[in-house]
Amino acid sequence: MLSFQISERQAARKVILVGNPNVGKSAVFSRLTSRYVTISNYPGTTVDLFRGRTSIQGREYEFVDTPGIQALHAQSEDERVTNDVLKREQPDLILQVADGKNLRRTLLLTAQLSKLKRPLVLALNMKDECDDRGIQIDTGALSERIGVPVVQTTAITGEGFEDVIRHLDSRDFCSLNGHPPSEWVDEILRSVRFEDEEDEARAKTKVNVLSGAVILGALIHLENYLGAWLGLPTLYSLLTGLLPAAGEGLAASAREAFALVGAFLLPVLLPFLLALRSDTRFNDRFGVWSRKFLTGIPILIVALSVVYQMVGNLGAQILVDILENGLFGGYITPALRAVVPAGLVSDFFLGEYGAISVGLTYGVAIVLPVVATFFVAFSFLEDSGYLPRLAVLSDRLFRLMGLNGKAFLPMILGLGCVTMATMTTRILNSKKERLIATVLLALGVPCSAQLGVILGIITGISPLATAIVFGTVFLQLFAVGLVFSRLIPGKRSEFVLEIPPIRYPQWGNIAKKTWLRVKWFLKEALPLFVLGTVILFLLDRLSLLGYLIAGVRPIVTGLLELPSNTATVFFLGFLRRDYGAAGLFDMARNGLLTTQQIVVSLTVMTLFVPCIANFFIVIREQGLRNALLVTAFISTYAIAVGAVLNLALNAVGLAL
Amino acid sequence: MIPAKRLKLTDLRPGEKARLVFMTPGVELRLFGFGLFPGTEIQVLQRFPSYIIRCERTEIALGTSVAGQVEVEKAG
Repeated sequence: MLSFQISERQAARKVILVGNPNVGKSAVFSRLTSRYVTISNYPGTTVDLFRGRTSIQGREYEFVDTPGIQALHAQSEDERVTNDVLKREQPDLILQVADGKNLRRTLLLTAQLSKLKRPLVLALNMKDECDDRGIQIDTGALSERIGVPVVQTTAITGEGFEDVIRHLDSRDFCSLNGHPPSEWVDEILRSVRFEDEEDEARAKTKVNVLSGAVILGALIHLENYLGAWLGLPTLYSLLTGLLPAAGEGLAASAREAFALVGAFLLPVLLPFLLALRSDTRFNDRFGVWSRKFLTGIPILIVALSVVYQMVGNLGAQILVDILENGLFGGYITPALRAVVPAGLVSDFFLGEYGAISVGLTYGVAIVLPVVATFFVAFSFLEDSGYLPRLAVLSDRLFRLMGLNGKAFLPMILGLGCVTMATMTTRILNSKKERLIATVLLALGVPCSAQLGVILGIITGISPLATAIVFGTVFLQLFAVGLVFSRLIPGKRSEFVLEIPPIRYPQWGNIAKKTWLRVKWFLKEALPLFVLGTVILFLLDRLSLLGYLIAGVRPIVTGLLELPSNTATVFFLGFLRRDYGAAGLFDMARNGLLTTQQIVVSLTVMTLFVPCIANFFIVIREQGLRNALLVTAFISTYAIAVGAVLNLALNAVGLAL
Repeated sequence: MIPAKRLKLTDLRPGEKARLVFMTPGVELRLFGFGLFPGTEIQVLQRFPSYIIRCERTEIALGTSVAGQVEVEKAG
């Protein structure tokens, strides 16, 4: 008896958080454990289990955050994770987190969970949104009806958590039986939920004024391109003219940044954020616009352009300039040169393949600003709830490639980091879809760093060159998807996806996510940058680099007609694709490449093999055999496409 | 009273409300998970590029082929 008591005191009470996708399980988990896990506004952010131990009022708890599930029969890999943990680990308590706005679906899942015969507490999250929409729930009546404690919470503010904590030791079992006919749900809903029908006319004028301002801002944004093209005055040229013409260097960068932010970013973002923040009716309406074809495509164009201006110009041009020429070129490298005597040590750190002059500079000065700006923009898109709407717009396109609109999420995540995105392919429902998505990600979806660097190189050349590079890559993605969808056995699954409401993002969450991702970049990527440079340095010193380059010369100089040291850049590209791109950036800037060579090398680099990190993830998700097949296919294919593109450009003789 | 007409989900226009009657076994389980059962009341919000239906306060996107496998009964 005594030993039993002790063991019970020592063992942490295990609480598993379960719920439909995108109801805020991770936010609840973060609040209960003070451990941050990524939170976004799209279903399927969590694809793995997260555990956190914490002691609340002298008792030990172990919380487990799980991927969202629709039901207890798993449809996709991430749902299977949750099903397995529920059956395997016999939790002391199931904390069902739910969206208070959708009680029907919630109760259907509750009924299924009750079959597991574990104590249960139901947390109806997003109380703020219920209040906003005039939905009231009689939690007392509901609790009585289903036999377990019911609490209302707002995870992002912490509202209602004292109630959650109070019930963590509950031993009540749910009284709903496992069968889900819709009659009892309707009956319960009628007795516990009250809703005032929205008064549509109310505050309509306010919405219209704000909507008008947003549309005007978008038009100003677009006019900056159109005006420049037609030779008309633009806000951009006006702002550039305002400041005194400074010469080169940092003053010029500051001026450029001022004009860029003032002309391209502020006019759209300011009214948009104001509208999002001040009125949920605008959010709902924007949510409708962005999923309809006729309004959705223009919104997509403006959104892409804003991201492009942020990452491609603000990040890849201005910030890179400040860091690389200002900080590294202006201070760090010269200062070190002055201290370190010329010789082997100096060469190692500061030479042609110097760990600092190349490795660190590429990583910190070229790639970091690009990824950081991208992460900010991307976190914003994630949290606003915009991304699932793009899945709606793109479903028909993906269907041709054997996928469905759901695949849009891993694809666009790939623009953040292909490696992370490859893990997200778990949200897809069939093996076939996961394999196709993995191949496409490895083949042609450039990661943010690489994309930013590519944009950085290409903004300096012609729009035609940009169009050729991206057009070729897109066409290849499409073609490979089309062919693979017919070659790989298996079925495409049906497209069913919940579309979450548009929300005003939490800046704290964006900052946290961006910081986590930047930290991850510094930890994972930077050492590889330096390592890659050191390997190159050694190869160079041992005069092996020459042999290596000579070995691949027939391909690089013969087939692709590129300068022979592009081979080193491709080698770097295997360590990290962005590192390779940074190498191309450097070569292009120093005038070592013709425009056609830039186009060909960028295309090959984008399509080329995935970086090492991604290769390992592909092994984990798909097995070694598939990973090797994928890599072999992609390398051959990338070079073939590059060669054909080069021949075509030769034949056409286009002035780029 | 005129008996309610049984239609395909794809026959409904945006804005129309209906009650789900039947879905093919292929898509049944997927839809159950979203709280879509025979008897559930829904509203069609959009048809192109994907179907969007609303059930309670939740919007759910359905591919065209899914929508073609769902039969509904118009309310009234």
